[in-house]
Amino acid sequence: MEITIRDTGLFGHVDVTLDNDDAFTSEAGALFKMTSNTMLTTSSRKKGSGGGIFAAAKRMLASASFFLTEYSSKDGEPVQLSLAPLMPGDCAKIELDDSCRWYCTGGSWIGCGRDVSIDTEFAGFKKGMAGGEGMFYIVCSGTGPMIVSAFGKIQKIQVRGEYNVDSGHVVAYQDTLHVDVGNASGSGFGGFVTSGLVGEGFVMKFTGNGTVYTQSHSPTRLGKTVGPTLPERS
Amino acid sequence: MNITIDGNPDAAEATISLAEGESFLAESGAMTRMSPSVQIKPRLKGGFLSSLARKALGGESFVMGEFTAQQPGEVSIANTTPGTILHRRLDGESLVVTAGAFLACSPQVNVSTKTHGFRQLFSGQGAFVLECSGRGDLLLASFGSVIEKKVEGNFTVDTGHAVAWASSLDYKIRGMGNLKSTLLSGEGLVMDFSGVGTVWVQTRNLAGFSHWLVPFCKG
Repeated sequence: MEITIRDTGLFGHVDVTLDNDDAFTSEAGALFKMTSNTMLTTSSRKKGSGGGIFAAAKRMLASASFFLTEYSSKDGEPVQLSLAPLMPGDCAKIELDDSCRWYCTGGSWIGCGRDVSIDTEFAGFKKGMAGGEGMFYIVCSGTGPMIVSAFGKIQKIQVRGEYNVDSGHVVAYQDTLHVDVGNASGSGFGGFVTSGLVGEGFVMKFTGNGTVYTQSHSPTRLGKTVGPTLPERS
Repeated sequence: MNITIDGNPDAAEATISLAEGESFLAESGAMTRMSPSVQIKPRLKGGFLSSLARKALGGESFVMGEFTAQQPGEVSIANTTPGTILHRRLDGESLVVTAGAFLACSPQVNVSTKTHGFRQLFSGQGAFVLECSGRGDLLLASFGSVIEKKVEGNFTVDTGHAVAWASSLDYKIRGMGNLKSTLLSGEGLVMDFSGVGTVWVQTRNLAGFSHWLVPFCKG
Protein backbone atom coordinates (compact mmCIF):
# COMPACT_ATOMS: atom_id res chain seq x y z
CA MET A 1 0.00 0.00 0.00
CA GLU A 2 1.22 3.46 -0.86
CA ILE A 3 -0.24 6.64 0.59
CA THR A 4 0.73 10.09 -0.66
CA ILE A 5 -0.45 13.34 0.83
CA ARG A 6 -1.12 15.81 -2.01
CA ASP A 7 -1.14 19.61 -1.72
CA THR A 8 -0.45 21.20 1.61
CA GLY A 9 -2.42 24.22 2.71
CA LEU A 10 -6.16 24.54 2.46
CA PHE A 11 -6.78 21.91 -0.16
CA GLY A 12 -4.95 18.79 0.90
CA HIS A 13 -6.07 15.40 -0.29
CA VAL A 14 -4.74 11.86 -0.26
CA ASP A 15 -3.82 9.37 -2.98
CA VAL A 16 -3.98 5.71 -2.01
CA THR A 17 -2.56 2.90 -4.13
CA LEU A 18 -3.66 -0.60 -3.14
CA ASP A 19 -1.98 -3.80 -4.24
CA ASN A 20 -4.15 -6.81 -5.02
CA ASP A 21 -4.57 -8.06 -1.44
CA ASP A 22 -4.66 -4.67 0.31
CA ALA A 23 -7.71 -2.92 1.69
CA PHE A 24 -8.33 0.55 2.99
CA THR A 25 -11.32 1.89 4.90
CA SER A 26 -12.55 5.47 4.93
CA GLU A 27 -15.51 7.51 5.97
CA ALA A 28 -18.39 7.19 3.54
CA GLY A 29 -18.23 10.21 1.27
CA ALA A 30 -14.48 10.84 1.39
CA LEU A 31 -13.80 9.22 -1.98
CA PHE A 32 -13.69 11.57 -4.96
CA LYS A 33 -11.94 9.58 -7.69
CA MET A 34 -10.82 6.01 -8.29
CA THR A 35 -9.69 3.59 -10.97
CA SER A 36 -12.52 1.51 -12.38
CA ASN A 37 -11.27 -1.76 -10.88
CA THR A 38 -11.91 -0.47 -7.34
CA MET A 39 -14.34 -2.52 -5.31
CA LEU A 40 -16.38 -0.60 -2.78
CA THR A 41 -18.00 -2.29 0.18
CA THR A 42 -20.06 -0.02 2.37
CA SER A 43 -21.05 -1.19 5.79
CA SER A 44 -21.85 0.15 9.21
CA ARG A 45 -18.83 -1.64 10.60
CA LYS A 46 -15.23 -2.22 9.64
CA LYS A 47 -14.21 -5.73 8.70
CA GLY A 48 -12.42 -7.39 11.56
CA SER A 49 -13.62 -4.78 14.05
CA GLY A 50 -16.36 -5.45 16.49
CA GLY A 51 -19.61 -3.56 16.89
CA GLY A 52 -22.56 -3.11 14.60
CA ILE A 53 -25.32 -0.55 14.47
CA PHE A 54 -24.55 0.64 17.98
CA ALA A 55 -20.87 1.27 17.18
CA ALA A 56 -21.89 3.08 13.99
CA ALA A 57 -24.29 5.31 15.91
CA LYS A 58 -21.57 6.10 18.43
CA ARG A 59 -19.27 6.99 15.55
CA MET A 60 -21.79 9.56 14.38
CA LEU A 61 -21.63 11.15 17.82
CA ALA A 62 -17.90 11.60 17.18
CA SER A 63 -18.73 13.55 13.98
CA ALA A 64 -17.65 10.64 11.81
CA SER A 65 -19.93 8.87 9.39
CA PHE A 66 -22.37 6.07 10.21
CA PHE A 67 -21.20 4.10 7.20
CA LEU A 68 -17.65 3.13 6.38
CA THR A 69 -16.46 2.21 2.91
CA GLU A 70 -13.81 -0.42 2.31
CA TYR A 71 -11.79 -0.25 -0.90
CA SER A 72 -10.08 -3.22 -2.47
CA SER A 73 -9.26 -4.58 -5.91
CA LYS A 74 -11.91 -6.25 -8.08
CA ASP A 75 -9.52 -7.96 -10.44
CA GLY A 76 -6.24 -8.39 -8.58
CA GLU A 77 -4.67 -5.41 -10.37
CA PRO A 78 -3.48 -2.42 -8.30
CA VAL A 79 -6.14 0.16 -7.45
CA GLN A 80 -5.67 3.92 -7.23
CA LEU A 81 -8.09 6.13 -5.38
CA SER A 82 -8.16 9.61 -3.88
CA LEU A 83 -9.80 10.81 -0.70
CA ALA A 84 -10.69 14.38 0.27
CA PRO A 85 -11.81 15.72 3.62
CA LEU A 86 -14.90 17.90 3.95
CA MET A 87 -13.14 20.87 5.46
CA PRO A 88 -10.46 22.99 3.82
CA GLY A 89 -7.07 22.10 5.27
CA ASP A 90 -4.11 19.78 5.51
CA CYS A 91 -4.15 16.00 5.63
CA ALA A 92 -1.59 13.95 7.54
CA LYS A 93 -0.61 10.31 7.55
CA ILE A 94 0.04 8.69 10.91
CA GLU A 95 1.68 5.27 11.04
CA LEU A 96 0.34 3.08 13.86
CA ASP A 97 2.64 0.45 15.35
CA ASP A 98 0.60 -1.16 18.11
CA SER A 99 2.61 0.62 20.82
CA CYS A 100 -0.18 3.05 21.61
CA ARG A 101 -3.67 4.13 20.65
CA TRP A 102 -4.53 7.36 18.84
CA TYR A 103 -7.41 9.64 19.75
CA CYS A 104 -8.92 11.61 16.85
CA THR A 105 -11.19 14.54 17.65
CA GLY A 106 -14.47 15.47 15.98
CA GLY A 107 -14.41 14.89 12.26
CA SER A 108 -10.62 14.61 11.88
CA TRP A 109 -10.48 10.87 11.12
CA ILE A 110 -10.56 10.17 7.36
CA GLY A 111 -9.46 6.57 6.93
CA CYS A 112 -7.11 3.77 7.87
CA GLY A 113 -5.57 0.53 6.65
CA ARG A 114 -6.96 -2.95 7.07
CA ASP A 115 -5.11 -3.72 10.30
CA VAL A 116 -6.15 -0.57 12.12
CA SER A 117 -9.30 -0.88 14.20
CA ILE A 118 -11.69 1.97 14.93
CA ASP A 119 -13.61 2.51 18.08
CA THR A 120 -15.50 5.39 19.65
CA GLU A 121 -14.95 6.59 23.17
CA PHE A 122 -16.80 9.02 25.41
CA ALA A 123 -14.50 11.97 26.09
CA GLY A 124 -15.66 12.29 29.66
CA PHE A 125 -17.98 14.96 30.91
CA LYS A 126 -15.40 17.68 31.60
CA LYS A 127 -13.32 17.19 28.47
CA GLY A 128 -16.43 16.77 26.35
CA MET A 129 -18.10 19.95 27.55
CA ALA A 130 -15.09 22.24 27.79
CA GLY A 131 -12.53 20.69 25.45
CA GLY A 132 -14.24 22.03 22.33
CA GLU A 133 -13.65 18.75 20.48
CA GLY A 134 -17.04 17.10 20.92
CA MET A 135 -18.32 14.54 23.41
CA PHE A 136 -16.92 11.48 21.60
CA TYR A 137 -13.52 10.74 20.09
CA ILE A 138 -12.57 8.18 17.45
CA VAL A 139 -9.92 5.84 18.85
CA CYS A 140 -7.63 3.90 16.51
CA SER A 141 -5.27 1.07 17.37
CA GLY A 142 -3.42 -1.69 15.61
CA THR A 143 -0.77 -1.42 12.90
CA GLY A 144 -0.76 0.44 9.61
CA PRO A 145 -1.52 3.88 8.24
CA MET A 146 -4.24 6.24 9.39
CA ILE A 147 -5.19 9.53 7.75
CA VAL A 148 -6.45 12.58 9.57
CA SER A 149 -7.52 15.97 8.26
CA ALA A 150 -7.58 19.41 9.82
CA PHE A 151 -9.11 22.82 9.35
CA GLY A 152 -6.10 24.83 8.18
CA LYS A 153 -2.47 23.93 8.73
CA ILE A 154 -1.52 20.77 10.61
CA GLN A 155 1.37 20.88 13.05
CA LYS A 156 2.98 17.81 14.58
CA ILE A 157 4.14 18.50 18.10
CA GLN A 158 6.35 16.28 20.25
CA VAL A 159 5.27 16.89 23.81
CA ARG A 160 7.90 16.30 26.47
CA GLY A 161 6.60 17.41 29.83
CA GLU A 162 3.73 19.77 29.33
CA TYR A 163 1.95 21.56 26.49
CA ASN A 164 -1.32 23.49 26.08
CA VAL A 165 -3.51 23.47 22.98
CA ASP A 166 -6.50 25.78 22.69
CA SER A 167 -9.84 24.00 22.67
CA GLY A 168 -10.95 23.31 19.12
CA HIS A 169 -7.40 23.02 17.78
CA VAL A 170 -6.61 19.39 18.67
CA VAL A 171 -6.62 16.98 15.71
CA ALA A 172 -5.21 13.74 17.15
CA TYR A 173 -2.97 12.56 19.98
CA GLN A 174 -1.32 9.45 21.37
CA ASP A 175 -2.77 7.87 24.48
CA THR A 176 0.69 7.90 26.08
CA LEU A 177 -0.19 11.51 26.90
CA HIS A 178 -2.34 12.45 29.82
CA VAL A 179 -4.98 15.02 28.89
CA ASP A 180 -6.85 17.39 31.12
CA VAL A 181 -8.96 20.47 30.52
CA GLY A 182 -7.96 23.71 32.16
CA ASN A 183 -7.97 27.45 31.81
CA ALA A 184 -5.51 29.07 29.45
CA SER A 185 -4.52 31.59 32.09
CA GLY A 186 -4.09 29.54 35.22
CA SER A 187 -6.24 27.69 37.67
CA GLY A 188 -8.91 28.95 40.03
CA PHE A 189 -11.54 31.63 39.66
CA GLY A 190 -9.02 34.32 38.63
CA GLY A 191 -7.83 32.17 35.76
CA PHE A 192 -11.39 31.49 34.69
CA VAL A 193 -12.27 35.21 34.60
CA THR A 194 -9.07 36.14 32.76
CA SER A 195 -9.60 33.39 30.19
CA GLY A 196 -13.10 34.65 29.54
CA LEU A 197 -11.92 38.24 29.18
CA VAL A 198 -9.16 37.51 26.70
CA GLY A 199 -11.37 35.05 24.84
CA GLU A 200 -9.09 32.08 25.35
CA GLY A 201 -11.53 29.95 27.32
CA PHE A 202 -10.37 26.43 27.92
CA VAL A 203 -7.23 24.63 26.80
CA MET A 204 -6.37 20.96 26.53
CA LYS A 205 -3.43 20.39 28.83
CA PHE A 206 -1.17 17.55 27.68
CA THR A 207 1.37 16.03 30.05
CA GLY A 208 3.86 13.22 29.52
CA ASN A 209 5.67 12.15 26.36
CA GLY A 210 3.92 11.75 23.05
CA THR A 211 2.76 13.33 19.82
CA VAL A 212 -0.10 15.75 19.28
CA TYR A 213 -1.35 16.99 15.92
CA THR A 214 -2.93 20.46 16.02
CA GLN A 215 -4.77 22.58 13.48
CA SER A 216 -4.18 26.28 12.87
CA HIS A 217 -7.84 27.17 12.55
CA SER A 218 -10.98 26.43 14.50
CA PRO A 219 -14.39 25.83 12.90
CA THR A 220 -16.02 27.35 15.99
CA ARG A 221 -14.08 30.59 15.66
CA LEU A 222 -14.81 30.81 11.94
CA GLY A 223 -18.49 30.23 12.71
CA LYS A 224 -18.45 33.04 15.27
CA THR A 225 -16.92 35.37 12.69
CA VAL A 226 -19.10 34.44 9.74
CA GLY A 227 -22.34 33.78 11.69
CA PRO A 228 -23.16 37.40 12.61
CA THR A 229 -22.74 38.43 8.96
CA LEU A 230 -25.46 35.99 7.85
CA PRO A 231 -29.15 36.94 7.94
CA GLU A 232 -31.51 35.23 10.38
CA ARG A 233 -32.84 31.88 9.22
CA SER A 234 -36.50 31.89 8.37
CA MET B 1 11.42 37.59 20.29
CA ASN B 2 11.44 35.48 17.17
CA ILE B 3 8.43 35.16 14.87
CA THR B 4 7.91 32.39 12.33
CA ILE B 5 4.88 32.11 10.09
CA ASP B 6 3.81 28.78 8.71
CA GLY B 7 1.03 28.11 6.23
CA ASN B 8 0.96 31.30 4.15
CA PRO B 9 -0.84 32.23 1.98
CA ASP B 10 -3.97 30.26 2.82
CA ALA B 11 -3.84 28.85 6.36
CA ALA B 12 -1.29 30.82 8.30
CA GLU B 13 -0.30 30.28 11.88
CA ALA B 14 2.36 32.44 13.55
CA THR B 15 4.60 31.13 16.31
CA ILE B 16 6.22 33.65 18.62
CA SER B 17 9.23 32.50 20.66
CA LEU B 18 9.56 34.53 23.82
CA ALA B 19 12.63 34.87 26.02
CA GLU B 20 12.15 34.88 29.77
CA GLY B 21 10.13 37.92 30.83
CA GLU B 22 9.28 38.90 27.24
CA SER B 23 5.68 39.52 26.29
CA PHE B 24 3.47 40.37 23.36
CA LEU B 25 -0.17 41.23 22.76
CA ALA B 26 -2.64 39.25 20.66
CA GLU B 27 -6.23 39.63 19.58
CA SER B 28 -8.79 38.02 21.86
CA GLY B 29 -9.12 34.29 21.15
CA ALA B 30 -6.22 34.16 18.68
CA MET B 31 -4.05 31.72 20.62
CA THR B 32 -4.02 28.19 19.20
CA ARG B 33 -1.38 26.52 21.40
CA MET B 34 1.35 27.50 23.84
CA SER B 35 4.02 26.38 26.27
CA PRO B 36 2.92 26.02 29.89
CA SER B 37 5.43 28.71 30.96
CA VAL B 38 3.39 31.41 29.24
CA GLN B 39 0.86 33.42 31.26
CA ILE B 40 -2.07 35.42 29.92
CA LYS B 41 -3.44 38.70 31.23
CA PRO B 42 -6.14 40.95 29.76
CA ARG B 43 -5.04 44.28 28.30
CA LEU B 44 -7.14 47.08 26.84
CA LYS B 45 -6.78 47.70 23.14
CA GLY B 46 -6.10 51.36 22.46
CA GLY B 47 -7.31 52.98 25.73
CA PHE B 48 -10.34 52.43 27.94
CA LEU B 49 -12.84 54.86 26.38
CA SER B 50 -11.99 53.97 22.82
CA SER B 51 -12.13 50.27 23.67
CA LEU B 52 -15.57 50.83 25.14
CA ALA B 53 -16.72 52.82 22.12
CA ARG B 54 -15.52 50.17 19.71
CA LYS B 55 -17.18 47.45 21.74
CA ALA B 56 -20.48 49.35 21.85
CA LEU B 57 -20.53 50.60 18.27
CA GLY B 58 -18.56 48.05 16.37
CA GLY B 59 -19.06 44.92 18.43
CA GLU B 60 -15.32 44.39 18.37
CA SER B 61 -13.23 42.84 21.08
CA PHE B 62 -12.66 45.02 24.10
CA VAL B 63 -9.47 43.44 25.35
CA MET B 64 -6.40 41.76 24.01
CA GLY B 65 -4.44 38.99 25.65
CA GLU B 66 -1.01 39.85 27.00
CA PHE B 67 1.17 36.75 26.81
CA THR B 68 4.24 36.76 29.06
CA ALA B 69 6.84 34.01 29.27
CA GLN B 70 7.87 33.18 32.83
CA GLN B 71 10.52 30.96 31.27
CA PRO B 72 11.44 30.81 27.58
CA GLY B 73 8.41 29.58 25.67
CA GLU B 74 6.30 29.71 22.54
CA VAL B 75 2.83 30.91 21.67
CA SER B 76 1.09 30.22 18.37
CA ILE B 77 -1.72 32.35 17.03
CA ALA B 78 -4.04 32.30 14.02
CA ASN B 79 -6.84 34.35 12.56
CA THR B 80 -10.51 33.28 12.59
CA THR B 81 -10.72 33.10 8.80
CA PRO B 82 -8.35 31.17 6.52
CA GLY B 83 -5.73 33.45 5.03
CA THR B 84 -2.34 35.08 5.25
CA ILE B 85 -0.48 36.46 8.23
CA LEU B 86 1.61 39.51 7.43
CA HIS B 87 4.61 40.40 9.58
CA ARG B 88 5.68 44.05 9.63
CA ARG B 89 8.61 45.29 11.62
CA LEU B 90 7.72 48.87 12.50
CA ASP B 91 10.69 51.17 12.66
CA GLY B 92 9.11 54.48 13.54
CA GLU B 93 6.56 54.22 10.72
CA SER B 94 2.86 54.33 11.39
CA LEU B 95 0.20 52.06 9.89
CA VAL B 96 -3.58 52.22 9.92
CA VAL B 97 -5.08 48.74 10.37
CA THR B 98 -8.72 47.77 9.80
CA ALA B 99 -10.53 46.32 12.78
CA GLY B 100 -10.56 42.69 11.75
CA ALA B 101 -6.98 42.66 10.49
CA PHE B 102 -5.15 43.31 13.74
CA LEU B 103 -3.71 40.04 15.08
CA ALA B 104 -0.80 40.74 17.42
CA CYS B 105 2.03 43.13 18.27
CA SER B 106 4.96 43.51 20.60
CA PRO B 107 4.35 45.78 23.61
CA GLN B 108 6.56 48.52 22.14
CA VAL B 109 3.96 49.16 19.43
CA ASN B 110 1.48 51.92 20.26
CA VAL B 111 -2.08 51.02 19.37
CA SER B 112 -4.70 53.76 19.28
CA THR B 113 -8.26 53.89 17.98
CA LYS B 114 -9.40 56.19 15.21
CA THR B 115 -12.80 56.70 13.68
CA HIS B 116 -13.00 55.71 10.10
CA GLY B 117 -15.82 57.87 8.80
CA PHE B 118 -19.61 57.92 8.96
CA ARG B 119 -20.23 56.01 5.76
CA GLN B 120 -18.09 53.18 6.98
CA LEU B 121 -20.73 52.51 9.67
CA PHE B 122 -22.93 51.00 6.96
CA SER B 123 -20.25 48.96 5.31
CA GLY B 124 -20.22 46.09 7.74
CA GLN B 125 -16.48 46.54 8.23
CA GLY B 126 -16.68 48.47 11.49
CA ALA B 127 -16.51 52.19 12.04
CA PHE B 128 -13.09 52.19 13.65
CA VAL B 129 -9.55 51.53 12.63
CA LEU B 130 -6.42 51.05 14.71
CA GLU B 131 -3.33 53.15 14.29
CA CYS B 132 -0.15 51.22 15.06
CA SER B 133 3.12 53.08 15.47
CA GLY B 134 6.44 52.90 17.29
CA ARG B 135 9.20 50.33 17.00
CA GLY B 136 8.30 46.67 17.19
CA ASP B 137 6.67 43.70 15.52
CA LEU B 138 3.17 43.86 14.14
CA LEU B 139 1.21 40.87 12.85
CA LEU B 140 -1.78 41.41 10.58
CA ALA B 141 -4.23 38.78 9.39
CA SER B 142 -6.26 38.64 6.21
CA PHE B 143 -9.07 36.65 4.64
CA GLY B 144 -7.44 35.24 1.52
CA SER B 145 -3.96 36.25 0.49
CA VAL B 146 -2.46 39.73 0.73
CA ILE B 147 -1.30 41.99 -2.08
CA GLU B 148 1.13 44.77 -1.28
CA LYS B 149 0.63 47.87 -3.39
CA LYS B 150 2.96 50.87 -3.36
CA VAL B 151 0.81 53.88 -4.07
CA GLU B 152 2.17 57.00 -5.75
CA GLY B 153 -0.68 59.21 -6.74
CA ASN B 154 -4.14 57.68 -6.57
CA PHE B 155 -5.38 54.17 -5.93
CA THR B 156 -8.81 52.72 -5.11
CA VAL B 157 -9.60 49.73 -2.90
CA ASP B 158 -12.91 48.15 -1.90
CA THR B 159 -13.41 48.80 1.85
CA GLY B 160 -13.98 45.10 2.47
CA HIS B 161 -10.59 44.29 0.99
CA ALA B 162 -8.46 46.91 2.77
CA VAL B 163 -6.18 45.38 5.41
CA ALA B 164 -3.81 48.22 6.30
CA TRP B 165 -2.16 51.30 4.84
CA ALA B 166 0.59 53.75 5.68
CA SER B 167 -0.63 56.68 7.79
CA SER B 168 1.10 58.95 5.29
CA LEU B 169 -1.69 58.21 2.79
CA ASP B 170 -4.86 60.29 2.64
CA TYR B 171 -8.08 58.51 1.89
CA LYS B 172 -11.74 59.20 1.31
CA ILE B 173 -14.55 56.69 1.49
CA ARG B 174 -17.23 56.87 -1.16
CA GLY B 175 -19.89 54.69 -2.66
CA MET B 176 -19.12 53.00 -5.92
CA GLY B 177 -22.70 53.58 -7.04
CA ASN B 178 -25.13 56.16 -5.72
CA LEU B 179 -26.00 56.72 -2.04
CA LYS B 180 -29.11 54.53 -2.21
CA SER B 181 -27.31 51.46 -3.48
CA THR B 182 -24.58 52.01 -0.91
CA LEU B 183 -26.98 52.19 2.02
CA LEU B 184 -29.19 49.31 0.88
CA SER B 185 -26.60 46.80 -0.12
CA GLY B 186 -23.94 47.58 2.48
CA GLU B 187 -21.49 46.91 -0.30
CA GLY B 188 -19.90 48.96 -2.96
CA LEU B 189 -17.93 51.26 -0.68
CA VAL B 190 -14.47 52.08 -1.86
CA MET B 191 -11.50 53.93 -0.44
CA ASP B 192 -9.73 56.44 -2.66
CA PHE B 193 -6.14 56.67 -1.52
CA SER B 194 -3.87 59.52 -2.49
CA GLY B 195 -0.27 60.35 -1.71
CA VAL B 196 2.75 58.11 -1.29
CA GLY B 197 2.79 54.96 0.80
CA THR B 198 1.91 51.26 0.88
CA VAL B 199 -1.55 49.68 0.97
CA TRP B 200 -2.13 46.00 1.82
CA VAL B 201 -5.17 44.45 0.17
CA GLN B 202 -6.76 41.06 0.89
CA THR B 203 -8.08 38.89 -1.93
CA ARG B 204 -11.32 37.87 -0.15
CA ASN B 205 -13.90 39.87 1.75
CA LEU B 206 -15.98 38.55 4.59
CA ALA B 207 -19.23 40.33 3.72
CA GLY B 208 -19.02 39.10 0.14
CA PHE B 209 -18.25 35.56 1.27
CA SER B 210 -21.28 35.59 3.57
CA HIS B 211 -23.53 36.83 0.77
CA TRP B 212 -22.34 33.95 -1.36
CA LEU B 213 -22.81 31.44 1.45
CA VAL B 214 -26.36 32.38 2.48
CA PRO B 215 -28.30 30.58 -0.29
CA PHE B 216 -26.51 27.35 0.63
CA CYS B 217 -27.35 27.60 4.35
CA LYS B 218 -30.81 26.07 4.11
CA GLY B 219 -32.60 24.28 6.88
